[in-house]
Amino acid sequence: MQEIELQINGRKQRLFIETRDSLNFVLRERLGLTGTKKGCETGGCGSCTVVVDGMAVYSCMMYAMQALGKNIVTIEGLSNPEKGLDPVQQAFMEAGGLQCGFCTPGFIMSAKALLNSNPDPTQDEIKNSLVGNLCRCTGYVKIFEAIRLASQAIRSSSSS
Amino acid sequence: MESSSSSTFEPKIFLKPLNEEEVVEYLRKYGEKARLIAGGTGIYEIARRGLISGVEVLIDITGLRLSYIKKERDLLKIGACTTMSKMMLLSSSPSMSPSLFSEDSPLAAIGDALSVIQPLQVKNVATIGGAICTALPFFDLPVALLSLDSIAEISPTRREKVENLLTGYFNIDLKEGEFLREILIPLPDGYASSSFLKFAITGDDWALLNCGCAISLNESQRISSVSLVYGGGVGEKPRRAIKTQDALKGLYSLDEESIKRVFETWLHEDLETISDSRASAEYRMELAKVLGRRAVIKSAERASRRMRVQKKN
Repeated sequence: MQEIELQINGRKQRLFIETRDSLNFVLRERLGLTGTKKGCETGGCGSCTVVVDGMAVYSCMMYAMQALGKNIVTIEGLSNPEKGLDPVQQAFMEAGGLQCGFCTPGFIMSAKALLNSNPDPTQDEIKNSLVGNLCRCTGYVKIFEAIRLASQAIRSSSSS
Repeated sequence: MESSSSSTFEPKIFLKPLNEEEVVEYLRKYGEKARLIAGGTGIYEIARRGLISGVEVLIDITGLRLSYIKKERDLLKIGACTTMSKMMLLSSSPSMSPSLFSEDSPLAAIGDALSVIQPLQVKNVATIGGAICTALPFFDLPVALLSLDSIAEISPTRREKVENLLTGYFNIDLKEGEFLREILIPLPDGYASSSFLKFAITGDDWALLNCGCAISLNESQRISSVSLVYGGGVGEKPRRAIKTQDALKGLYSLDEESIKRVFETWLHEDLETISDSRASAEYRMELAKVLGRRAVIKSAERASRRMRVQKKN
């Protein structure tokens, strides 16, 4: 066990981990941030997606030690009681971009990373950014709609 | 509380050196017990499948400033820790105009490969060095790099063709204390281009079969040189189709029938495709003929377009 410090959702967290621990394991089992899901654990389903230094990554394929000094954002870091839901979360709710909900945090984090770097993506760019996220309820059309809606909301708020 | 990973893979020490000397020192100190990581996705894949054991030390080399693309004379240099997403970003930066891996570039095969490697979550952390050193024959980028005769700059002091480094499943010919620092890609002059094609079952799957091809044309649009490499289900490492390459030389680049005949005649002598749960060897061989023919024609069309542009200028 070794003591490390991770920057998660804007807060520094000190904790003890094993070298072999994945970021997903540390988020869920050590910090209780269970919004980030554990799905296939083979880099295929995307339910474990978090944003690290602005980019979507699979937390199940990253050792927690690799995240030292990086800025990690999980689904729990998107909203708070003061500012309410993030525009991406709001759009998923309004567009009905979820069914059972298990994949939703992963989709939202992938969408968040996309819209941070490209606030006005094309349909192809949206689809390309979601290749690594699976929805077994097959609700993709509503998810694409939600991301378009979020894109509009983000652009209109930044222009007003 | 559940376990975080496979019981056969339990590294105890994580090191993040800041210079090459430290890396060499650690590699010599820990030997076979140590593994280098950059993105970490390659070793993760291997560990999850229980294909690696006895590793006690992970050496993270992302602190070495090996994330870059540089153009120097007739070589393109890519740092081993450059992620695939960063390769795409840097290749089209204003300082690299025209775009390094676009369809109009002789290195278009790399752009083709990067565009089919998915998902983004992996591309954001997986590196060019990791794609080579994982030595998994189903990967895409190494096949494109081999078709372009890429060279590995190995620390402390050695250069070797990437093709010669790959010796088998998960095996790479690096000696004790050595590690891959940089990849050098020769920039061909004249009427040259390249392409990469992949066939996979899903958008983010490993290749059932893939193919990289680099071609040069002479003034009369005949093939003066060709490099043809296959991966994904052709054995323990990517394979060069030597007899097929030889038979393609001298052909008129737009003569699709003759090109097709070459693949029908020679490819089975170059490749031994494998059968697995995803496809039979016979299916893969037919796929290899089709992908190879298409890659040659695509490369030739691109080279021909470069010829027209160069003559116009």
